[in-house]
Amino acid sequence: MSTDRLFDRYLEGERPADYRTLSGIELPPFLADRPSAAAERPGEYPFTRGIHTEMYRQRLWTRRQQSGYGTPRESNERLHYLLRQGATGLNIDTDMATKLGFDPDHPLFEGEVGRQGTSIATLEDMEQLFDGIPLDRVSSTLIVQPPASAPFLAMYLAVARRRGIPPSALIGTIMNCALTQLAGATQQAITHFFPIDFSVRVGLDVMEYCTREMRRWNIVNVNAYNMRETGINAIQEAAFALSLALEYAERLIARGLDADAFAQRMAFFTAAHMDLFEEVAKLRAMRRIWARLMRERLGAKDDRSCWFRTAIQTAALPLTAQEPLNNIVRAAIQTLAAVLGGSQSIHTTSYDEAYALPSEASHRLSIRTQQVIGYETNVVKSADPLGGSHLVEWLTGRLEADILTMMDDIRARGGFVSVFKAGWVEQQIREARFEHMDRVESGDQPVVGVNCFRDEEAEEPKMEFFAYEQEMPEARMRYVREYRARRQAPALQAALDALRRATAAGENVMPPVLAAVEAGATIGEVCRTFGEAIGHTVEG
Amino acid sequence: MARIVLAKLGSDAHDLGVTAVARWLREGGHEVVYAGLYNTPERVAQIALQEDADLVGVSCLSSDPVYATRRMRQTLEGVGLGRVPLVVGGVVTPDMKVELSRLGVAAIFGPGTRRERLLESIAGLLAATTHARAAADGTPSPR
Repeated sequence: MSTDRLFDRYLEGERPADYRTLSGIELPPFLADRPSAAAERPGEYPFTRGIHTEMYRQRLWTRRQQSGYGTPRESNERLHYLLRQGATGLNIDTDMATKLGFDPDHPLFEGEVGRQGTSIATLEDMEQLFDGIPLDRVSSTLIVQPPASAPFLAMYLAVARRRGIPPSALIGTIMNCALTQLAGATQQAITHFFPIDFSVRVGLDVMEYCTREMRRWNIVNVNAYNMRETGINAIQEAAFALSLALEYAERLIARGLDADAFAQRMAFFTAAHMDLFEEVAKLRAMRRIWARLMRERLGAKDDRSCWFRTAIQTAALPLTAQEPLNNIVRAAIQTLAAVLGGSQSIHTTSYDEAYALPSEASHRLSIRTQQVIGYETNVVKSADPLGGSHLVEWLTGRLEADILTMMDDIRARGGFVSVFKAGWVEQQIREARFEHMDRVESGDQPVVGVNCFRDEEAEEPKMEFFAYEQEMPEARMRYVREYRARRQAPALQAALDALRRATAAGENVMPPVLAAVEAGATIGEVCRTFGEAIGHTVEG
Repeated sequence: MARIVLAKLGSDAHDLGVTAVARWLREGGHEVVYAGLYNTPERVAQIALQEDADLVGVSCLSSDPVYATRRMRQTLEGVGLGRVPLVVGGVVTPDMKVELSRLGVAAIFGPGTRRERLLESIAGLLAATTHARAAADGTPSPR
């Protein structure tokens, strides 16, 4: 925009192009009536104002930065670095081969091993990854979806066993969400490698196993974040995630588990986007809806079963490759939204996210962002500080109503798994992502430094990006081949045969997966055995 | 109008950009064959052969654009499609841009590429190839 035109606009009065929230709710100029919901208290059912009475006065949220790249050894170094900088929990990301259940020498992953996260194929890898980290004192989130979540968790359990730590003492989370883990959540990403029904079943097997054996462990992180990153709005994000979580819970009850046995170990993973008040209201509405679903629909008696607990990652979709330093400001505001919304743990997305995995410096900046909010702003010193705000209470009620309407619609169509398989979710995502693109392209959705206030003469930013060791993928390939050659073949074969039979018979896969992993099976071998058992082969 | 093959290579499933570009090109009057996710370079080259593609585009976010592009370029040459322009979409650092140009990439479309610029650039590439093909065939250029 020319300077002349800008001056004109300033003279006319600079104002927003519209008065809608990101999800399209029209905001009134001001609100005068005090909403009745303000009578709720933090720490009391339905927990709209937070799951604890004193919230961060008693304990800050966990600073849990996602991390993982290259070999397990390299990743271990970064984990120790993050803990030294003040991270209070770990968040392990693996590369695509690991997530999808393949070993690093599979041809599809040529040139990509260790790139999107760390490469884990064997029990030795898992031991290296967690070297020097006390598994009963530091909580870790393991970002793996079914069916690979089963061997991945089995390896984690085997490492703990070798160190003499019982499963019941482990603290952390397995993401284990069958439908929403893969970026974009496009149907092809979810259905290409395993049928949806099988992934859901293994996910439930893992949840059931954790419920029985790992009482301090979170059995699932229902992944709303990755869906939100496609461009859907806050209402869709909440309605999709809550519908899916409800369905997981109902299926666990159908397996004979009591709601109070597992509900307090279910957790969520949600986004904090740019619309500050709407995001705070979204989290408040999700807490209220989840509590009521658990108590009124599923009969949970324990208050803890009604807690909507969520990890938050600040949204990367509004971050930009152009003028990347602006992302530091965006992430700080999003992190504040997560704190004001009462999150249990936060990953602040790095400003260089568009270009690469975080460098040490950008990782540290993310932790510092959270520390500045936690230690300098005093926003942590009273629970639910926006509770009772006319706007936030009104938005909470409005979002709750809109989310419930969409959840009823999903239920009427057969539930989330069913509408997902039918392509309905895909359609919603497709429409949302194109609408988002169009709004950015047309300028209806202002993005500073991209479609407005863009410095056409600015040079490309000089940034130090994280770079990979060039030899790493090749080394990983050699390693896994050498590893396979030195195992006891008969014991391994017997364990894989037992796994194949149990999988085909519909038994819980976790016990035979544990045995297979102890016998030296790789993640790729376990998942290939799954495929053989159900007669599923991947094309191409 | 031209026939354009677009694809994601390897395990990188970030397809927001490529699906948007596919739509822009279709709306711009081109015939787009989008090969979807999880392709090997060999599969993309086969599709390009079968479809008699005028242009091939690959999209990279979390994969290594230089590695993916080198493999794609070599594979296209291997099946006799060395003259088909190869374009790359995605986030490419300045260092990688230099490397991609050396590999003979016809155009790179990064974040913030406007619809009109993309369509103009593709039209320019297609016109140049038609011209070059005509010259090689010894027939007068249509222009």
